[in-house]
Amino acid sequence: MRSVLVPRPLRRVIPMAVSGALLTACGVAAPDVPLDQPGHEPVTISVWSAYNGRELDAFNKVLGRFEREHPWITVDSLGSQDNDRMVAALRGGPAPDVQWAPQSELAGVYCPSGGWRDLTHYIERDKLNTKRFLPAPYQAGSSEGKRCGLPVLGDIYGLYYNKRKLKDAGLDGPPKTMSELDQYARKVTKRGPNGAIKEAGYAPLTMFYANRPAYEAQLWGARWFDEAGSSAVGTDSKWREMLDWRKNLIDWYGYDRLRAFSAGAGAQYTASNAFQTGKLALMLDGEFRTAFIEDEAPELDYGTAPFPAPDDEPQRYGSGAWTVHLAGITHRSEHPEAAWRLVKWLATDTGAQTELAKELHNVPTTKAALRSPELAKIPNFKPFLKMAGHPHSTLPPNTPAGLSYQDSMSTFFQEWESGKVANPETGLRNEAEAIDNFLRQVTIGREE
Amino acid sequence: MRAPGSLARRRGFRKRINWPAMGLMAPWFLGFGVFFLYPLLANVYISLTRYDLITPAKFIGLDNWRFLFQDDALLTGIGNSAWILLIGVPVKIAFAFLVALMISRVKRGSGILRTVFYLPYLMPLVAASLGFVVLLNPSAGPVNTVLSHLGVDGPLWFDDPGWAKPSLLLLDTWMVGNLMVIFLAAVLDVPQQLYEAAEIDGAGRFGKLWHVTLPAIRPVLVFAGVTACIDALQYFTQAYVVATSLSGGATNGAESLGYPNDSTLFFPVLLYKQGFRYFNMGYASVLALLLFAVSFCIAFVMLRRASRWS
Amino acid sequence: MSTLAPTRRRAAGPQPPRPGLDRQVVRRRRQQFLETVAERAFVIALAFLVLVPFVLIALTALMSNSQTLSASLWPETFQWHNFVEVFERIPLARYAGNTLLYAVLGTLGTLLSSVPAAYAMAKLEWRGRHVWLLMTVGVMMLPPQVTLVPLFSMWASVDLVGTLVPLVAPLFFGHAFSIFLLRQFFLTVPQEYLEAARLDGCSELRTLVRVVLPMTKPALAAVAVFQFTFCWNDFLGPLLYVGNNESAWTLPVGLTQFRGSYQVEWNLTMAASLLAALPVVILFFFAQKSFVKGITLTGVKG
Repeated sequence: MRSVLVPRPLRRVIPMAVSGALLTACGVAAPDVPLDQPGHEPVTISVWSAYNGRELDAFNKVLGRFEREHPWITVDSLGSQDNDRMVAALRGGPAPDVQWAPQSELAGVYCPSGGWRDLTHYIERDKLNTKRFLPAPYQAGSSEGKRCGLPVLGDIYGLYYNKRKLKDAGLDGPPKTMSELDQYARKVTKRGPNGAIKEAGYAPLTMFYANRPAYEAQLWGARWFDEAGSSAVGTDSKWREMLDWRKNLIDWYGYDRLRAFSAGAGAQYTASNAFQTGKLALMLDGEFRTAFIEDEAPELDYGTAPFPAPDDEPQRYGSGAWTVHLAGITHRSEHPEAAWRLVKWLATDTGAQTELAKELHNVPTTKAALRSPELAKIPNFKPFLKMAGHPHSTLPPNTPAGLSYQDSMSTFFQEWESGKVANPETGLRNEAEAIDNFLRQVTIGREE
Repeated sequence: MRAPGSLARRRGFRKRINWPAMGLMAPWFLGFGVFFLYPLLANVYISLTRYDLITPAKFIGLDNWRFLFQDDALLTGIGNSAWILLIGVPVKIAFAFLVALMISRVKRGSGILRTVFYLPYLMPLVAASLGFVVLLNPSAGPVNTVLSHLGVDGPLWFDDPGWAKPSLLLLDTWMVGNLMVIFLAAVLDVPQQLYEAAEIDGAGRFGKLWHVTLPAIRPVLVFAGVTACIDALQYFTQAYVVATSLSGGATNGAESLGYPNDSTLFFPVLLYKQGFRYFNMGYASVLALLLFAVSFCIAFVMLRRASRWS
Repeated sequence: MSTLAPTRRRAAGPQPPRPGLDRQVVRRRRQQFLETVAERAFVIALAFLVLVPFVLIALTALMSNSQTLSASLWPETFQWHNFVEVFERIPLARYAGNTLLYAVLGTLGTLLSSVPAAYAMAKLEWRGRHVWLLMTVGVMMLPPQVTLVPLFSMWASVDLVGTLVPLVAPLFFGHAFSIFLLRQFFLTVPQEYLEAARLDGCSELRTLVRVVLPMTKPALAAVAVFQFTFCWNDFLGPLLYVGNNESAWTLPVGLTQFRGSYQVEWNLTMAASLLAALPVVILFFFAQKSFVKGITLTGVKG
C-alpha cells in the first residue's frame, strides 16, 4: 500500500525539475523510457478499469490467468474508474501502471501530452503483428502519430427491435434505411386519447438512452473533420440530413409529447428501461444490452440488426458505431515492461478476449476472437459480431480536445430538437467555428 | 522573556518592529506568501503559456487570453454562476431566515425542530448530491413516483436543462441548516422590549418583522450574505457529482460535466474542465484570474460596507 | 459574550386575554392564535419534509439492486446486509481513516497556526496590522479555484500529489477564515487582563495561552468544528490531490465506487453515503451544544 502522508521516495526513472516539468524527455525521438530488464524479478503492477461487481469479478478472473502465465507478475486491480479519474491519475503523483479506459476518444488527450507512453518501440521490438486487430479499434489507440494504447474489447451500437410490436403493426423484419425507420416508428407508435405517446416506435431525442451524435454520425457517415483537420460539421451535408431526419420525426410526435414520453421511460440501465418493458419498439444501443435483457427481461421477444443506413448509401448497411476500450501504460509507471506484457496479453490473447467478451457481452477487438463460436452462441449477439467486422464500422476521431467536439454537437442537437435554432446552416457553421477555435486553443504551442 | 515594564517601552517604540507580533504572525506571513501570493502571481505567468502539467510550460504570449473572446462556454459558465449568485443565494437566505423565524416563535420543541433542519447540513455534500440524484430520477425516482400517484407529472429535474439549476438549488436549500441556526440565534437575541415598543406603536406581525427583527439582525444577515456569495463563487461539488453520476456508468460518463446542455457548467466547473480534463492549464489560469477579479470586486464592496471589521 | 448564546429573552406568543378588554381585542387575539397554529403546523410539516430525503435514501439503501430506480418506494425485502456488503466491496474503513486523518490534522493545523496570528492581529500593535487584516479578509473571500492550477503544479513538482500533504500542510500556515473569526473573538477579551499578565512578566505567547485561550474556549471549539466538518466533507481538494492514489482516498472520493461500466449500484451507493454521514452525525449528537454555540458565534461575530 502506498503511504498516505509520507511522500514516496523520489523516483529514479523520472528526472524531476522543480519548475514543474515532470517529463523532460517528451517528444524526443528516442524511447521515452529505458526498458527495464525483461528478467523475471517479481513485480506488482496496478491496473484501473471501469468495471464493478460482476464485471470486475470476470476481469479479475482473467487477470488471474495472466498471473498464472506470468508467475512473477502480480496484478492489483481497481474498478469503477471513469475517464475523468483516469485523466486525473495522469496529472501527477503515483499513477496506476495500466489504465483500461472505457472510451478511446480520450486517447487524443492522453497521447500527445505524454500521459500514456508511446508503445511504438515495444510493438516493433516484439514484432507484434498489428494486422491481428480489427482496423477501426486499432486506429483508436493512436493520436497525432503516437501509438498510446491497444484496444481491449469495445462496444458496437446497432438496432434493437421488438419483434412482437413490429409484427402487430404488420411489419416484417427490421428497417434497413432511415426512411424505413421513420415509417416503422410512425406505424408502431401508440397514442393515448389526448395524443400522449403510450408506446413509441423510435424516440430520436438526443441524449435519450444511447442517442448521441457521436454514434449517429458514424451511422450516417457524417464526417467530423476534413482532410485539413478543420471541423466538417458546417460543410458535410450529412449533418444537415441528420438534423432534418430527426426533426421531421420529432415534429410528427410533437416535441413536448416526446419529452414527456422520455421522462416516463424507465432509466436506461435499469429493469424499467422502456425497450425492455415493451414501451419502446426500436432503439439504438450497444451489444451489452443483450446481457441486461437476458438478466432483466428474459421473456422479451426481440431481435438485433445493424442500424438502418442512409437512403442514398445502401452500402453502409451492416455497419455499426464503435466505442473502444483502450489499455495503455501511464507515463509514471515504474514497471513499464510488466505493464506492457499485461497490455499486450489483454489485447492479443484470444482466450482472454473471448472470455471477457463472453462474460461482459462486449465485442472483441481481434479478428481471431471475433470468430469465436462461443460468442456467436449468445442470443442476438451475432449481428454485432458481424457489424464489428464491417469495413464501414468506424469511430469518432481522436483530438487533443478530447470529446469536446462531441459535447458541443450534442448540445447543438438538443437545441435544434427543441426548436431553438432558427437557421440550421448558420448554426452548424457556428458549431464548426467553435470546434476549430477550441482545437486551435488546446494545441497552441504544443511541440511536434 | 520580557522584563517588567516592557509595556511602556513598547509604547515608546511603536514605530519599531514588534518582534513578538512578528513571531506570532510568521506562519501566516509564510502561508500567505506561499499558498496565496505566489500562486496568484504564478497564474499570470501560466496564463501566458501552454502548460499541460506533463511537458514543461511553453511561452505562447496572449493566445490564452485571446481565446477568452472565442469561448462560447465562458458566457454559459458566467451565466450559470450568476444564476446561483443572484437567485440561489437570496432563495437560500430567505428560506433559512423564514424557518429560523418560525422556529423562534415555537415555545416547546424548538430544539428538536432546530436539530431536524440542521441535520441535512451534516451530510457530506457528495453523499447528499448522490442521494438527490436517486431521489430526483425523472422516470423512477421516489419523488416523481410520489408525484405521479398524486396525478402530477414530475419534471425531469437534473435531466432537464431548465430544471437542473433549480434542482441543485433544492438540494442547497435542503442543506441550509447552518445558516438557519445562525439566524435563529440572532432572532432570539433581539431584545423583547423592541417588539413591545413596536406593538405599542401599532405594528403588526409584518411591521415588527420589518422594523424590528430585520434591522436588529442586519449584521448577521450581511455576514450570511457574504459567506453565501463566497460559496456561490466556488460552486463545484454538487454540480460535479450530479452531472457525472447522472449518466450512469463509467462508459457514458465522459461527456457529463455541465450536463444537461451545459446548464450546470458553472464557472469553477469550466475551470476544472479546462485545466484538469483537457490539460489546458494556461487557459484555466486565465479563468482563475478572471474569477479572482470578480471575487475581489465583490469582496471589496462587502469590505467597504462592513467597515466595522477593522 | 453570554448574550450571544441562543437563549430566549422572554417567552413569545399570545398572552391570555385579561378581563375588561373589549371585543375587538379578543377577536384580534383569536386571529393571532389561529395564525400561530397555522404557522406551527406549517413549520412542523416542513420539518417532516426535510426528513423525507433521509428516509427515502435509507429505503433505497435497503433495496436490492434491481429494485432501485424501479418506481417503487418500499423495499421488497429489507437487505440489511447491503451495509455489510459495502465494507466487503470497498475499503470504506480505510477511506474513513484517511478522512479522519485529514480532518484531525487539518483542524489541529488550523488552530495552531491561526490562533497566534489572530491574537497578534487583535491584541498587539504593530505596523501594517490593518493592511494584514484586510488581506486576510480578502483571502477568506477568494474561491480556492483561483490558486488551484499553480498550487497543483507546485505540489506535483515536489512529488507530493497522491498524498494528503497538499491538503493538510497549508492549514499549518494559517487559515484566513479561522484567523478572521478568532480575531473577532479575541477583540472581546478586555485589555486589562492582558496588561495584568504582561505586568506579571508573561511573554506574549504565555499571555495568549494562559489568559486569552481559556477565555475564548467556545470560539476555539467553533473554529475546530467548522474546520473538522469542512475537511470531512471536502471533495475538490481530495479529488485533485489524492484522486490518483486509491490508498489515500477520502470518503467523498470513494463514494462513487459502486459504478460499473454501464450501471451504478445505487443501493450500495446510498448505503455508503449514509455510512459516510454517520460519524459527523454522531459527533453532532454528542457535542450538539458546542456545535450550535460555535455556529451561532461565527454568525453573530462575523
